[in-house]
Order: sequence, then structure tokens, then C-alpha cells
Amino acid sequence: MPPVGTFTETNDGNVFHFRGDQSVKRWDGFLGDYVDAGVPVPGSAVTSASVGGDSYIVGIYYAYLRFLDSRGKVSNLSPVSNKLIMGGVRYGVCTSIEEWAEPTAYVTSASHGLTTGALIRITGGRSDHFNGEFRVGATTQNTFEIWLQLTPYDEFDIDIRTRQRYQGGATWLEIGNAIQYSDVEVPTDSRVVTRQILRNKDGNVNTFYVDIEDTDLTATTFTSTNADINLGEEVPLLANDGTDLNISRHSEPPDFKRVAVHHYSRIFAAKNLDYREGSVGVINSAEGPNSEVPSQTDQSLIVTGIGTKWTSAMAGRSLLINAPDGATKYTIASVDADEQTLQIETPYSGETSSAVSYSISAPDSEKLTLHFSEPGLPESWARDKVLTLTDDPHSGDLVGLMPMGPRLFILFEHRTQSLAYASAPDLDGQVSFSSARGCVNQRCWIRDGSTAYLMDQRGVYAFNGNQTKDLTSQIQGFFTGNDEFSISWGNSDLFHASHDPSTRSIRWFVSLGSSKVRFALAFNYGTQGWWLEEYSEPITASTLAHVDGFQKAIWGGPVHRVLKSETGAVDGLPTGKTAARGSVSSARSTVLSDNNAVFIPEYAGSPVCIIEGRGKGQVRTIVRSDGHELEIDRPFSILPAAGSVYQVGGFKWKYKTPVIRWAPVGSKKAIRSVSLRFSPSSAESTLVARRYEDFSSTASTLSYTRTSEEGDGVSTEEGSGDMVIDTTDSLGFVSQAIDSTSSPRTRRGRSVRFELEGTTSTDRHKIYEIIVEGANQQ
Amino acid sequence: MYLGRYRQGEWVVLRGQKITPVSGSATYPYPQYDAVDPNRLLGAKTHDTTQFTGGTNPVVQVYDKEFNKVAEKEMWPEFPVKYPAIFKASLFLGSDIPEGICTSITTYTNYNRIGGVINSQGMVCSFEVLPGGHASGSYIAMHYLDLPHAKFVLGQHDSDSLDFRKNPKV
Amino acid sequence: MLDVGFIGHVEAGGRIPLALLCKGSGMQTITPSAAPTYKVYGARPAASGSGMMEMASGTLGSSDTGSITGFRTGTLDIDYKFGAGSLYVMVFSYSDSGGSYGAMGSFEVT
Repeated sequence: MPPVGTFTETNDGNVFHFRGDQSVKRWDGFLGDYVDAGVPVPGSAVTSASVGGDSYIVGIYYAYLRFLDSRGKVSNLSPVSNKLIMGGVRYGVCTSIEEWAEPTAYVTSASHGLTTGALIRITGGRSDHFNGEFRVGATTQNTFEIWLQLTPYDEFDIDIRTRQRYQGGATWLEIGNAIQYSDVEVPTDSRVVTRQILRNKDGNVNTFYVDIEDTDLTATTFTSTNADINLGEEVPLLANDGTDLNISRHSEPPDFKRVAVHHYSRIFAAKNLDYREGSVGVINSAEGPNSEVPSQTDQSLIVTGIGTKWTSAMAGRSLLINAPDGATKYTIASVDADEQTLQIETPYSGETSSAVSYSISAPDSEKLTLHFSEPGLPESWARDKVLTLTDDPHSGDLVGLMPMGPRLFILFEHRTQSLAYASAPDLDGQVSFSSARGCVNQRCWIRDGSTAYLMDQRGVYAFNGNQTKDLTSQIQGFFTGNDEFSISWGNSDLFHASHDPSTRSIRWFVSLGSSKVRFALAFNYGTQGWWLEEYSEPITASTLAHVDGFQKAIWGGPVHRVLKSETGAVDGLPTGKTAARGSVSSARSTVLSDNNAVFIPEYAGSPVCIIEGRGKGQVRTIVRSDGHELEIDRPFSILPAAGSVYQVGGFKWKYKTPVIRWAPVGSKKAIRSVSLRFSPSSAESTLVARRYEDFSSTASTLSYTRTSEEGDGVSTEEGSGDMVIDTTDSLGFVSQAIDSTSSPRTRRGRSVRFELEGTTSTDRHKIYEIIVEGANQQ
Repeated sequence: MYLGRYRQGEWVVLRGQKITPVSGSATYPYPQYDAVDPNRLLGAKTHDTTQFTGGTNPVVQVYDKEFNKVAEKEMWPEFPVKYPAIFKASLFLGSDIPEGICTSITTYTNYNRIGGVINSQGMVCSFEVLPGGHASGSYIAMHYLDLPHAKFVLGQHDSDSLDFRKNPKV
Repeated sequence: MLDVGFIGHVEAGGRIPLALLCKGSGMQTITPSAAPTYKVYGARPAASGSGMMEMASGTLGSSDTGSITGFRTGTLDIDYKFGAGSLYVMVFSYSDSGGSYGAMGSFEVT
């Protein structure tokens, strides 16, 4: 299974997904698919050189390359280029210009130093005389030929103008240089759509300017004839206070972090991925050859993955190998994601093995680090700005982050710290201890205003930023490990909390026993009451959404199903579809038939529950719904008989009262009964009451059989403990007498508990009162 | 061995054990799984043969109901310290695996000390791929995105995919 | 005798894949001298008495599937005579120079 990632949303409408084994992903609501966040940085410097050209550039120059994506987001700068010194220009006085009527003319200028092909500009002459740009032809020490046409050196002609005899005053200036950039990296990443070569102006290396902008992305050499005054967009490197503005603050988000939250215009990222899927095969070359490994590569440098899904992003991380003769640590040089092999920097020195356990994690320098983006720039991360937290052996692992108010709480398994800052975390950030409670993972906390509710391995507690209040003293058995319903922490990566503000309830989805995440510890923070929910299938993700105008929790389950919480009377059906309830005509181990029903295809994925008769209590998932048949996922353990009652979407609920003491009656007959006041259902559903005397685990049986009509809404069967209630009874009130004639000295019959168990159909069960006649004043 | 019933979009854990007929036998423990919920570990049983922990890892091949090969994976020890001869591989039932009864066969070769082949061993299992599944698999992370032009539910799935679904309604 | 185990559930009118890895007395895989055969047994209809009756028979492939030594496969059509909701037992037989061997499996028709 892939690492469970984190989604976080920023103010610009982007959502980012961090998971720790690959690049951070981004989606904005418009793109066809998720894309890698950020802009990759060029890895190599450009090379600058002076070449002949049509400009005059003088000074000392450096150059950077950077990439831009389609939105204009920029990358960090590449390594800086070589230092380029652009030399001075030549100039001289034209003492004479002769034969000017011909295609060429001759200029006399002592020791001019020009060479054939140089480009010069003559100025200072009379306006209709030789002012202009010319190519130098044949030269002698003191004379040079100029072409009055710019051909053959240039592609266009100028008119040969009629000139008068030269009357002096002109000077010439060589304009023959340009800057050539070579070794310009061609980007391979599809995010890059533009390259910019930046250059400084002579005398200032703090601000650079766009000299070349290229969208073709194929050339590796460019020539610039831009003089300093012609350079483009200004790109300052540092602010006056030394703050990096463009050099390295635009790094891509850290790809080894699993948890990210958005807090006051920054994204904070924490919790390094510790990857352990599958096994590795390792070879110690000193122990003997392996003919399958390329002979040119030291076999001890290659590690083979079995059942792994390594990515190229894991290069540079640490590999810990749990060899039989001891654990050893290596640095990963590269990863071949296709072959699922990786190359380590130093040879493996442990025992050769075909399969050993291992882990891949971020370098030790990144342990307990907190990274954060630039303010307002969620894809720009200055990777040298990092907060390193203090290692506390009592804290356990770092598991998550929780923003609340101005502070960012850093969650560990057994501790919570908080980060507060005014301007920047790296400048004035303060990390301090907040509480001695922690959290199971990033998904097991809910914030409702100024109160957060978190679950750690000790229980659930409320936290207002300063104090904690334990909430699970009533249900501590789930957390102690001693109860049959104890939480199984092996699946804790998939545990999550779901908040439903409209009902003021929070559910922590957990595994009990060795099951999947099918149970929810549910808490109402208004009534402070707890209850346990069991679902037919695992619910492994949740979020808060606006659906049909209401804010509701929605849950993600298997086979791509998304469910809305607390919506209908049954589970798993689309709105408007009636849940079928009926009698089984026949059943095979994986098929249930009702010849009187026509099952709709939408039932597939919903649960079906046997609620009465043989096989009662079994819940299965419908995989195919067709005609009169429902096919289920797992075979029935007890085959339902013809006449057993089933309910599509049905789920059982159960409630048991606290221990109630019977009032003493001496030698008189004890008048006792239990009554129920409820909201009548429009359709038949199952509701059963049972009585447990004293502390018996077995329900007390009744001694007579009676129909619902005879019992005014309650039917009983001799020898059974079930008092079956007709939920369609229009009065919404039923009663069952349980009179007793016990001896006053008996120890029996002193206390009782009542249990209600039901399976809804079209309407929810609403129980208003359980009235116990004959009880002691409670 | 029967591995159970699964829908497309679920994971099947394929298991195999390495035993060897090398002389001498002993009992060794191996984990036992619930026949109804094959991922549920019930405890340990003992097997009356000899476990073999050397040599190469077993390989499992999976065939569909027409015996077209749909997957081949190398297996690794599920409990390397406690039950070193029990191997597993996880198979995600994606769109490439059709409905019906699938057969998996685990094979491995036993070698002697100087690398000579002793024999080959193996185990055949079957499992059923049911209708009603989805190749994306289960949600393992979700996010709700409310934008002016639409509302979206974003999801990460255990099939190792990310998706977004538009304008959820009940 | 090898335990092929429960194969799976198959609809009436469908087809069930059959797979057998032939093993010798030492549990090592072997190449059978001929294609393995199988017989399918089901409960005798109540009207015709008690016990099991032979429902079908056939042979698996004469060559290895997937180049795996001893891995032989085939299919069985579940026609009208197989009753829905019933469990059926398969007995496989094969041999090599070392002896004759058997395996058992089962399936359910839904």
C-alpha cells in the first residue's frame, strides 16, 4: 500500500499532496491531472564568452540560468557562470575619406588596429556625409577600406548615396562584440516552458536582468547583443537586509515529508517518510559472485527490492538494512524505479541474503526538522531555512501538525509542542512544550473553534491550547489493551477522525481486535456521550464537505465509494432508493434469493443484514444485485433458511442501560415492567428488547408465546429472551410486564439491565424513553 | 489453498511456504489465517515437515480463469524472525485482472550447499475476483475543494492513484 | 494425497478452472507420465439413494502450463446436471515412474 499522504489547500486555490516518497503534487481545479509542484532548478552553469557581434558591451559580467513554468513561477538560479570580461572598444579619427563614390571608400586613420570584417560606426561628420555603420574591408596600418553597401558582409543593401567631398571631423568607433552563452541546459521536465538567462550590469552583481528569454527549449547556445541599457526585467538577488530574493528561495517542496498544513500564508511540512514495504536482496561481493549482476558493477553496491515501489525521489536518502548479522546504514546514490534496484554509495558489508527487512528514510540531518514555504509562495521553499526540534525521548515519533490560532502545534505520539513566531519561523520562531499528550497520527485530531479533540494511545482528550481534559475515562478499556474490544494499533496509519458539526459529533475510525478500520469511537461533545459504531466495510478516509447545501462529513471507503454520514436510515444507498426488506426464498453460500423482490443494481456495494430467523446477525456486502438475487462477498457462515428476514443496507444498533436496582417489596408480589416510548415507523423494522437480571450475560427468557396483537405491540416466544417490538405501532408506546414473586431473603433479582437491539429499514429508530416500573429511585 | 473472495480494487495477500524434503523432519510453527477473512491472523499451527530458509525467494504467478498469466511477483518473508519460511506477496486487483476464479502458483527451488539443484517445490492456491469492484481501490486520504466554478472531492487511493471527482451530491 | 483444497464458487452454466501441481512422495514437483485425470463426485439425489455419485470426469493438460514442472491445468463446464447450492468433490490421479498419486479438491455451484 502506498504511504498515506496529506492534502493541504492554499489561499490561491491550489491543493498540494505530500506523501514522502515522490514529488509533492499540485492540482488547481482546472488541470487535467495532478502535476509536480514547484519548478525544477537548472543543475549546471552556463558558459559565457565574448564573440563578434553588433554591439559594444564593456564590463565584467556573470550569468545565471533559471526556468519558468506556464504560470510564470520561477526556479532557483543555476550555479553562476564563469566571470566574463568584455574589453574596451577601438576608436579613431578619420583624417581622410577618399573614393567615396565607389562601392568602397578608403579611410585614413593612423594605427587604427582594425581587422577585416569589423563593424564600425562613423559619426561626427556632416549629416549627409559618412555617418553610419560600415564593414571594414582591406586594411593597411593606417588605412582601411569601408564598404558603402553592407553586403557582402551583411544581408541587406543600403542605397549608395551621393556624397560630397569629405571635409573632416568624423570619428570612427568599433562596434563589434556580443556575449555568447553556451552549455545552456535543455530542461527535461515538462513543467518548464521558458528559460531565462540573467546577466548583471557592469559594476553591480546584486541585481541581474533578463538577457535572453527562450520558449523553444532546444538550443544550447545563445548570443546576446544587449548593451546594459537594453537588458530586460530586473531580478534582484538580495534585499538590502541580505534576504534572499531569488537565488535559492524557490526550491521545490520537500519530497520526503508526509505531513503538511497551511498556516498563515505558509505551508509547513513535517514527518519524514520511513519506507519499509517489502524486502531487499543484498549481496556481499566478498562472499561470492552472482552471475545475474552486471560484471562491471560491484555487486555489493546494488540492492534489489522485492515487493517494493521505490521512486527516483529516494536518491540521497539513508538505507538501513536489517541483515541477520546486524543492521548497517548506507546512502542511496541512485534508484532505478523500473527495475526496483538502488545503488548505494559504499559497498554492502553485511551477510548476503535474498530477503531482509530494511527502511529508507531521510538523511539524519533531516531528523525532527520542520520545513516551511515562503509567505504567499506555497511552491517556493528556501531549503536552508529549517527549524530543527529538540529530541525528547519521551515524545515518541513526530506524527503531525495542527494549526490553532496563531500557534502551530507540533504533534508527537506522546507530547505536543507549539511554534509561535511574528515575522518568520527561522528568525523569531519559538518552540515550546505544550502538553504531555500527543496524537496517533496527522488525521486523528479535529479542531472546533478554539478547542481541539485529539486521540493518542492513552485515549481521547480536549485541548484548548494550554490545558488538556481527558474524555475517555468511561471507555478506557478500548485503550488499555486488556478488553476484547481493545484498539489494534498495527493499522494506526489508517486511523482518522471525522467531524460532523451539525450533530456535534466526532468519530475516530479505528481497528478493534484484528479487524480492518471498521469501527468508530463516536463522541458527542455537546452531551459528552460515547458510543461505538461498527461498519460493514472499512472507512479509511474522511473530510468535511458541503453537500446539497449542508456541511457534512463524507467518508471514503473501498472500491472508490464515497459515503455521506448520518443521512438515511440505512447504509450505503443513493438517496431516493428504497432499501429492500423481505423474506428469503432460498439461500446458497454466496447468493440470497427473494422471489418477491426485484433488486436494483444500485444495491451493489451496500450491506445486507439477516435480521430475523436462521442466520440472524450476519452482515455481508452485496457485490451483485440482479433480479431476484443478491450475490455477497463472503459466504454465509450459517445459511439463512427460507423465511429468514433480510434488510438491504441494514445495520444493527444496540443499547444497554446501566445497572438498575429493583425496589425491595418484601413478601408482596413485585410489580415490574419495562415500557418503551418511540417514534412509530412507516415501515416494518426490527427492534428487540431483552432483560438481563443481576449480572447475567444471558437474557432472561419468557415463559409464553404471544403475538404482537396479543401483546399490544410486543411479541414473545416461550423460551426466548427476545421481546420483539412492532415499530409501526401507531401509539409509539409498548409495555411488557415482568412481574416477580421472589422471596424477600433471596439474593437473586436485585438488579437488572435492559438491552435494545434494532435494525432500521426506511425510518430511523427514535427511542424517547425507557420506563422501568418497579425500580429503585435512581 | 483457498484465499477467499475479493472485488476489483482490493488486495489479495498471496502466501507460500518453503519446505524441504532434506532428511530429517521437525515441526515448525506457521501462522494460520481465518478462512472467512483471510487477512485475519488467528494464531499459529505446527507443520510436520522441515522449513527451508535458504536459497532464492519463491516466485508466485497468477493466472486468470482462462489460464492467462496476469501477474508474476517475487515473494518475501512475512515474519522474517518468527516464521522465516512463510513468504508473501501482495497483489492489487486492478483492471487487468478479470472476474472469475484465479489460480496462483508459488514455486521455488531447493539447492544443496554447493549450489546444485535438489528439487523444485510449489503450492497452488485459488481466489475469486467478484463483480462490483473499482480499479481505483480504497480511499486512504481525502480532501474537499470548494472553488467558484465547482466543488471537488480529491482522493488518494491504495491503488497508488490520485483523483478528483466533481460536484458531489447524494 | 495432496490437498488442492476448495477451489471456489461457480455459477451453474459457468466454467471452473482446474489446476494441479503434481508432486511425488517427497513433496517435490514431478512430471507425470501422462495427463492427470480427474473425477467429480456429488451427493446422490435422495430419490436414488444415499452416498456420492460420479458427476463428470476428464483430463488436465498433457503439458506444463507456464513452463512450470508438473503444473497442469484444465477447465470443467458446469452443465445442467450440477445442482445450484451443492458442493462437489474432485479427485485427481496421476503417476510417474515412482508411483501413483492423488489429490483432492472441492468447489461449490451457486
